[in-house]
This record gives sequence, C-alpha cells and structure tokens, in this order.
Amino acid sequence: MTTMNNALEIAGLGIRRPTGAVLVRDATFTIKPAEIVLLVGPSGSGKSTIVKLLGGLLETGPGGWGVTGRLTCGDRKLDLESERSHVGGIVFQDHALFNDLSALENLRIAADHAGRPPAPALLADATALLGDIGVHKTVASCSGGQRQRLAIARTLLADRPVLLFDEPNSGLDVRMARRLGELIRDLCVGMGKPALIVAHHVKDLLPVADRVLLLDTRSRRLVEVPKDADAIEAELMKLDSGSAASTGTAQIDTAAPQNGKDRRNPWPSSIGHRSRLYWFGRYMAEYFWELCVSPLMLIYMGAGALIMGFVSMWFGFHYNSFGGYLKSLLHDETLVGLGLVQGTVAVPLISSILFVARNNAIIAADIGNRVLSSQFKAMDNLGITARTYIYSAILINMVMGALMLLVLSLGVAGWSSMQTWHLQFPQQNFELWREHFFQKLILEGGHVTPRMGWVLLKVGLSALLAGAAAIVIGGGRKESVLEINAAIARSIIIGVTLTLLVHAVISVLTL
Amino acid sequence: MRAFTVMFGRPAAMAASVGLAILFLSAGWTALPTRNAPSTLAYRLPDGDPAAGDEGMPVFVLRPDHSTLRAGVARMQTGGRIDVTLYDPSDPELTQESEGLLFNADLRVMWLLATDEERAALRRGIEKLGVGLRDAIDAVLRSPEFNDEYRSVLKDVGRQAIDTAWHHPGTKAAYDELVRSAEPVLREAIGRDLRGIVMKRAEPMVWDMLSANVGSVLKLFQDQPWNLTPVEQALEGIQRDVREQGLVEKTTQRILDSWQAKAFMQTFANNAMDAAVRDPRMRDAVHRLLTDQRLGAYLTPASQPANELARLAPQILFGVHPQSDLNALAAYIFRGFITGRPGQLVILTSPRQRDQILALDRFAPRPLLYGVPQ
Repeated sequence: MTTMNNALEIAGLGIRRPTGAVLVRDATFTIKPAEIVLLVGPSGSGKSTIVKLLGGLLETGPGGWGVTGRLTCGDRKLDLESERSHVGGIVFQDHALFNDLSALENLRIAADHAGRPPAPALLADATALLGDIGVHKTVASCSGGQRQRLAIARTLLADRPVLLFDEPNSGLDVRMARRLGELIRDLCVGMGKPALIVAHHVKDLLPVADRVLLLDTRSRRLVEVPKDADAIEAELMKLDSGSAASTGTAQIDTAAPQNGKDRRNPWPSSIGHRSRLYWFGRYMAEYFWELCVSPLMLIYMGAGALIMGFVSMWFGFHYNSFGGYLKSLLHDETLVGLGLVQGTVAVPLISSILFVARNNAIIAADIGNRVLSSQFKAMDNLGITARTYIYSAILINMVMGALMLLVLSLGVAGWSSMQTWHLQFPQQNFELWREHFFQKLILEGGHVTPRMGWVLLKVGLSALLAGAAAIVIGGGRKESVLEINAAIARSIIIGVTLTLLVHAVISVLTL
Repeated sequence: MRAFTVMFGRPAAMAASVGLAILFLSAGWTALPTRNAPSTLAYRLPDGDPAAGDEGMPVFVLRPDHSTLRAGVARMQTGGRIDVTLYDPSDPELTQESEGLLFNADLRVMWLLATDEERAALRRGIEKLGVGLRDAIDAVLRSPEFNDEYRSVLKDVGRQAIDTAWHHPGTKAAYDELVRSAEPVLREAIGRDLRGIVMKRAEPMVWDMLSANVGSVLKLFQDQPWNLTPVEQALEGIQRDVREQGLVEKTTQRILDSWQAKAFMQTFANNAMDAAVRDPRMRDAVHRLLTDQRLGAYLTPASQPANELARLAPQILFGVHPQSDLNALAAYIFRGFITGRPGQLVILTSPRQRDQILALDRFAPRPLLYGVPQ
C-alpha cells in the first residue's frame, strides 16, 4: 500500500447558502492520516455541502455559496473564502460513473487526469478492489457493488490527499454496508489517507470510524460526539424529526475483491497512460458516432432526403399551373428551378431540421443525465476538463455532422428526384434531367455555384446554435428524470426554431 | 440503435453505417451530370461557319411517329464543325438516325416535324377560322347596332382622316414627286403611242370632213355650221384604238410601278391611319365597339373555330395534353420564344425523313454533312 501522511485541518469554517441562510458556523476539526471520521446529521443539514467544498465543487463567490475558514493539508494552506479546495477525492453517493465509458476507461480517464501518473503501488491499491470485474465490462453491466468499488477505485486513482465518501452505505443492507466500511478502513490505513464519510445511517459504519462529528442544525456547529450508536441516534432523532426513512437494499457484492486479490490482477497493466488529446479524440469519436453516423441516424436522414426528393419532383410537376397540360412545355425551366430550390433551400432545411431535432434530443438527454447523475461533478473533482471534451466534441460534431449529412442528403435527394422524374417521363434519358437539374448548381467547368457557400453557412450555423442551445438546456439544474424529459422537449423546440430562423434569414439575405 | 448494437455488436453497426454512407454517396454520384464526355458524332455546315458557339445546342432524334426525343448535346466549333455528344450512343433509336439537320429554334420546326395529317388538320382549322372571321365581321357590319351607332361615326372619321392626310405636307411632297415622275411617262405615251393612233385616224377624218362639208364650202357666205360628224367619229375611233391597245392601262401601270408611286401611297396611308388613330372619336368608337355586348352574338361564327384551333395547335405543335410525356423539343422552343433567345438545335433523322422535311421547306433546315469527330 502507498502511504501518505497528510492530515486535514479545517479552522473556522463557515458556510452560507446562496439564499443567505447559515449552514455551518465556525467549525474547526482535524482528520489525521489514516483516520476515518464520520460526519452525521439530519437529511438536508448540509453534510454533502461540506464534502463538495472539500472536493472543490462548491460554487462560491458573488451570487453563490459564501465560505469562510482555512484549510491545511500537508503543505497546502488555503483560504477557503477565496481559494478552491481540491484536496478531496469524492466517492459520490450514486457513484457518478461515466456510463458512456467502459469500466476500464473510467479508471483510465481518472488516472490520466491526476496531477501525475499514478505510482505502481497506487495502481495496485486502487485496482485491488476490482478483481471480480472484467476489464472491458461496461458500467451498465456492473452490479451495484461493482459500481461502488469502481467509483472508489476511480477516486483513489485521482490521488487526492483526502478521501471523501458521500453516503456510501445508502441503499446497502447491513452486511454489505459493513463490508464497505471494512474496505474503506483497509484503504485508509493502507494508504495513510484521512477519510471523511458522510452518513445518515451510522450504525453500519461506526465500527470502522475513529471519530464522529455531528452537524448540529440548531447551533449550526460541528460537534464531536462519542462513538456510541445509541447516543448518536438519539442526537439525530432530536435533530431530525422523524426523517429516518427506511432504505432499500441493493443486490451488490463486495466479497469478490478478497478473492480477486489472490489471482493476478489485470487492471494495473491495462490502465497505462494516455494524453489529453487521446481523451479529446475519444469523446469526439463517441459523439461522432452518436450524433452523425450511427446506422439509425443515416437511415433517418436518408429517408428524409428520399421523401424530399420525391415530393419536390412529383408535386413540382403535377401541381404546377395547369397541371399536366404545361408540364411538357415548362419542363426545362421547372427542372432548373426545382434543382436550385431543392439544392439550396429545401434539402438543406429538411436536413438541418431532422438533424437538429434528433441530436438536440440526444444532447439534452445526455447532458441532463450527466448533470443528474453528478458525472460533471465527478469530472470536476477528478480534474477532467469536461467542458473541453464534451461540449467542444458536441459542437464540432454538430457542425461537421450537419455538413456531412447535408452532402449525403443532397445525394440521396438528387437520386430520388431523378428516379421520380423518370417515372413521369419514362422515355427520356437521365442525362436530360442531369443537364437541367444541376444547371444552376454546377457551373461550367464543374465548379459548384457560390450559392452553396451560403448553404453551408446556414446549415453549419444552425447546427452550431442548436447544439449550443441543447448544451445550455441540458446542462441546467436537474433534480429528476422528469426535468430531463422537459429539457429534451425544450431543446428540440428551441433548436428547430433557431434552425428555421437561421435558414430563413440567410435565404432571404441571399435571394 | 442500441438494440441493433446489442444484437449485432458495435462492429456490425459500424459496418452498417459505412455501407449506408457508401450507398447514399453512390446514389448521389449516379445523379451527377456527366461532364466533358467525348463527342460521339461530328457534322459540318456545307458553307462553313467561322464562329464557334458559346453554348451547346440540344440534339434531338426524330422517331418514325414524328415524335422527338432529346438525345444529346451539340457544340458549334470554329469552321462550322458541329460536335455531337450523345447521351447514349448505344441507343437503338439512334443507329438508323444519322442525317443531321440544323434548325433555328422557332415554331417553323414544329410545323415541319408534324405529320401530314397534323398539318392538314391545322390547315383545316385555320381555314375554318378564316371563314368564321369573315362571317362574323360581315354580320357585325350588317348589324343594325353597327349601322345605327358606329357606321356614320367611322365614315366621318375616315373622311376626316383622308382629308387630313391629303393636306399633310409629307403627302403633298410625295404627290408632287409622283407627278414629276409621271410627266415623262405621259409625254412619251402621248408622243409615241397616241400620235400613231391619232395620225392613223386624222387623214381619213380630213377627207371625210371635206366630203361632208363640200356644199358648205361652196356656199361660203351662208351661215351654216360645219358638219363635225367625222371629227366625232375620228375621236370615237381614237378612243376605241386606245382602249383596244391598252394604252391607258400600260401608262398607268408604268406610273404605279415607280418608287414615287409607292412612296406616295405609303405616306398617304400612314398619314391617314395616324389621323384616324389620333381622332378621339375613333378611339371612343372602337372602345365601344369592342365592349358592345350586343355585337358579341355576331361573333359566334368565329368563336368555335377559334376555340378548336386554340386547342388543336398546342396539341399538335407542342404535344400539350394532360397525360403527355415530355416534348423536349417543344420545351426548348418555348423557352427560346419566351426568353427571346431562340438559339439553334440539331435534329437527327433518317434519310427519308430528311428528304420529306426538305421537300416541305428548303430554307429553314440546314442539312449537315458528315464530319470527323475530334
């Protein structure tokens, strides 16, 4: 086991909500190396806020949380009023695993964004928990216990001086909670790191705790209480007027690591090291697949273009003035006009709308899910530049994908138009259609008309704006899945509206 | 898509995407126009043509049923060579169609390419319309409404217009010029043709006068008039000879054949028409005439032939009917007609078709000679 001998010292800690209400007043405590401190208190008392503060996730400053006090950890001395603390690695209550990455990638990204490459001993310590988890397993296929150990291992790889656990026993039955407590105990002792465990139900974790701090919601102070379960429960009962809700149990398995230790552990050698560029490429590829080239997306866009090509050509010739009487006489000009309108207005518009409607739903859902499941917080805590990776990957892919799919849509719509035209004029050679349909789109010498520059602009710009709107809407505060659903609907409406506006304005300006 | 990925795995999904993308791009590629294809046929103008054309000319093939099909593009090169790029050189309809005719893209082409039956039908329609129009105009001119309200006004206007035109300085100058030009003609007619006739009749007249008045000569102092009957007979004879020899007609014809006569008539007619048009009574009468619902009934003889011709002509010439396939030739000519830039076109025919077209019109189509593709 790796050992670090940094104590965490907090002096004069005060936290004030953005509303102005005081959460904690003048709290001072120390957690020694390898010491485990339980932080208890009623629901909503602010325990998790202290964890967020120590993990660097609390938004302070004007309009945000108000914090005072000083923090000392090893040679780091921080004024919490003006400096952000990054001393704590948080294991979130709901694990906050990145479910778009595999189990291995969850560890890799944490290791690659740690301040320095993890030492072999740290790798061994962190991955010793994962003996029963296949290296390439997806997060979705992991059991609850496996996810919890993955989350712990990921936090350990970030190599923060202090370990912070936010209600780790939530949802666990007694046996599993005690196993988890033993696991934390072993890690802290082995690595010599102080640990702060926020818990609402303390009985299962009390055996592994060295001390217990109670957040007194009446005095707004942190009070050390004896390691007596009954006494603590009594204090909590006083503070938490009957809010001790029962918890369900999860089907998790924490026994496997012990067995896994006996076998050769494949994790350390699999983690390795990758540059940030690799991770940028990884997210680019992920969103390129999801937003641009998944088979369903291509079928969807292709179907839209196919229908557009058919509709414009069929109804363009059948329902013009005097219908069939003049379709022969006006054929050439009709075809030239249909080609121009289809190539510069209709297909770009329908392509953009289909693209934006579908992708804005995906982006809002994806970002909303990351917000709701604390993935962005976990990324921040792990030092992963989520905005750079995810937001830029989304925006770049929105623009690039919109342009790429525009080309595909134009191709499909053109083919569909040509076949529809041939249905109406079966004796004519296809080349006659080509000559007229592309007359104003492809100029002499094979050059594409300069108008296509405006087409690319409106398609790219609408995709960029719609993508940005989806990110903003998806990234808003989310408390439930219902809010994600609402965000999806809002994102589609705003994205499509922006698309329509951009297309209309540029089309009118370039008439 | 998650279901697809779960069922078949990510590699299968990626393969599906690549396949779809290739499929879409291939579809789009097949729709792109063929550019810079090599020419497959070449013709040349018999009399050459130094100017090369900027734009391509459409090439049509004339089928046995006299319908045309767009078959390619031709480009006029310097020196009168015409390179033809066929859409599909292997088209079986083209194998027998190798004679090229160059046309200006106007309605004459449609007339020449119509079948004999179609042309006959059009002629019948035009004749019917002509008859109908004559009948209709006659009926209008005979109608009591026209005679009561319009005839006198229009006659006045006409008289006034003729009078105004006659006194117009331009008309006067043209008339003077005509008279000046007519004097030598008249002098020549009198001196040469009329003199011969008069001399032929004068000699017997003198003798007849003498014999008729011999008594009077002897009774010199009697107050008796001369017997002038021989003179009257000689004049009648001269007139008869002039009439029989067409002297007046010939002289008149010579005068009317002169450019001065034409100039006078044109000037006079123009000035008369200008005067009529400027006359507010004319404008008012015509306006009332055209909007007079009572006269509509008299136009019935012309309306049915006009409707029939209006329906028949587009059907025959442009192939306009509800279920028609494309008549690319008509579309091209129509576009030229509307835009005022008719251009030229090439029609490939069989030798027999070419001869039939040239028999109808030797000037509108320009037969092309074979050339060597380059």
